[in-house]
Amino acid sequence: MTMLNIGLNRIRDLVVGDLQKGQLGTDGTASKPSDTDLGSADANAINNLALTTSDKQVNASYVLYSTEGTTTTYKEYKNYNDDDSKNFDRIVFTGISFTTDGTEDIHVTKRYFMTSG
Amino acid sequence: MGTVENIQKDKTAIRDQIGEEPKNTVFGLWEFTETIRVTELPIIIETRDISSDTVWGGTTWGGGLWDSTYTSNKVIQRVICPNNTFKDFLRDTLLWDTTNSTATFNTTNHQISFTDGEIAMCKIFQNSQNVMSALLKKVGNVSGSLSYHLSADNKAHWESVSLSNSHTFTNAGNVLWLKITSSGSSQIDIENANGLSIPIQVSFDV
Repeated sequence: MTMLNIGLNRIRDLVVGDLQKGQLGTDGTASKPSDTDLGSADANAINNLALTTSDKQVNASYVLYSTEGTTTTYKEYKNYNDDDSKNFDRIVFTGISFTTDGTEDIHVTKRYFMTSG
Repeated sequence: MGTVENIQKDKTAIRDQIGEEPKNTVFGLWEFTETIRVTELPIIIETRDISSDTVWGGTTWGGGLWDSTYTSNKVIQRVICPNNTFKDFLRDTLLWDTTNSTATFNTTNHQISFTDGEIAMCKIFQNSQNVMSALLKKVGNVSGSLSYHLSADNKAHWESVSLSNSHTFTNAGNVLWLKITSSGSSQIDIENANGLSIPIQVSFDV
């Protein structure tokens, strides 16, 4: 019995079809599987994901432009589906300072790879 | 008394059916399953200084450039690995130092090709915590002769490691790199002959 690579690519495409947006937040509490949302989401830091695929892999890219967001320190990030506001993941990291109307954009790239076995 | 008689009858009936020396028979139930995983790869957080870019390039006033010709490159600020485990399947070179690596990367066939002495370097982790130890667990399918080094202090000190042996760093730090060096011609293939993907994999403790 073998799960074929072309089958894994169909699962990849299901993931691509469900991913829509990314969002940054300011809560640095460690993430856990039972989390349902960011600890403290920034409503001004929601943007569409740019999705690209390669064999068995999805790349989801998010950009927070310098004109957006809130002047703060971002410590968490999520990818989610905007239709039902259900989240894929929550990633916590050491804070990155951001200034609205400042001189820097923030780019986040999250990648998912389909495997079997 | 009636109960004992019934038991004796049952014993006789069973003996008559299976004989004096029955063979043991084991009935097994096998269930074949296959696990499908959506593997999280390291998340990359970068910043780009846009102070030298004109507002005329904005998709919104002051936002991303229309022609995407930014003055400054993006700079990696964080590389966060799920469960402190790095995996890469060579679908892209986002974390590979293609400027200072001399090996040839092929993201179409998911390969790295080396001639004698060539190197390939990859950023594994970057955050505020110090990396204390690491384990190089997999490097895909290797043909040829490769040696491996890890640096926990952003390439300041390289420490020799071997596959599947945990390494405690002499020089700890918060930016972890992997360096692969070839003796003679070598190649790393992520896909084996049957199309099964074997990643480059490093786990570490912070």
